[in-house]
Amino acid sequence: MKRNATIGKANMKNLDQENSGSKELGLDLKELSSQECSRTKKGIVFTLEALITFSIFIIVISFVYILVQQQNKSSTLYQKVFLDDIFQVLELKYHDDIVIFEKEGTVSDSLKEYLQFIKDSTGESVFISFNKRIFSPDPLCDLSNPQMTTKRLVIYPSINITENLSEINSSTIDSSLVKISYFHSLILGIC
Amino acid sequence: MKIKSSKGMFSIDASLAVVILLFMSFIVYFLIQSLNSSFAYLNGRQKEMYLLVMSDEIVRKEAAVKTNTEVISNKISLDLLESYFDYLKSKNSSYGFRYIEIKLFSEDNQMVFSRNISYQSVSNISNMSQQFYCIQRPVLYQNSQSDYSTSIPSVLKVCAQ
Repeated sequence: MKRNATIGKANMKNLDQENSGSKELGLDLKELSSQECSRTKKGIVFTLEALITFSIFIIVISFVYILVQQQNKSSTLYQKVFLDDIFQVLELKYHDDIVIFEKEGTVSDSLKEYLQFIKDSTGESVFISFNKRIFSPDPLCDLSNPQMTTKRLVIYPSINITENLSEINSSTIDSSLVKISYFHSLILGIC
Repeated sequence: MKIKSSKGMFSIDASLAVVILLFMSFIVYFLIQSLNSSFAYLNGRQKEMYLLVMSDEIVRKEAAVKTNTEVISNKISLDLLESYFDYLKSKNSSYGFRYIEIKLFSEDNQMVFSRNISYQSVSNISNMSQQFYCIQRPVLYQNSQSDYSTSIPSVLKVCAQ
């Protein structure tokens, strides 16, 4: 009986020890979980701060970009329309003069007068160019650095020989080598 | 254990907070200013486009010529200008403009056509601080619509406010 009683006491002691150990462990777990919680909270706050700073940064940059965009000249569209209008007038009234300019390089008096009139009445110096032929009524016109140019097609038939003429005798020119080209690009610009 | 904290009138935290506050208020002011100028710029662009469309109404016309529909561009007549001006007069405003001026200069810089229309009293127009928008359109003009033989090079100037 005594033996049984001592065994029972020893078992009880073991159980008590186990209970106290689990209590200590439970406290440690609570501390650990609270620490982890505060860490995650800090992480979330940090991420939010970073996001807010980043969004403010993006907003400021976009508004600076808008402000910079505003400084672009808005008259470029009007200049484009202006050049298109001049080409239309040239086609309606000075088509033959343009063809002579493109073929021979000579500028007729009426075309000169018209471009001079445009310069006097609008203040814009306009030049016309085809291949290496350039004409502007303004001698101070800087043709190397024009403000704006536009390319338009002038339609007239012109003979174009596809191969080098020096190598072929004129009497033996094959008709297949001779082509008629109708479209010729004229460059109009403001300088 | 008590942690000693540096509390006082000029603490680092408070100074930083003031700096951040000032920075934030500057950013807000900057944003509002940018928005304001952006809206003004967009409004200006809209007015420019309206003026372009209005000048196109004078310069370009779609017409039936010998059963074919044809766009007659950069060819105007004084008759058509007059009738367009009468059309403008019949309206309360045109494209939101309060003042419109149409002038036509011929080859020798002689003013061939000049009309203006204001949708408000003249005294108000002189006091207006709004910007003037002008566009120049090189055209050919005829004295009358039936006179197709002569077309004179000219420059149409349309201004609006």
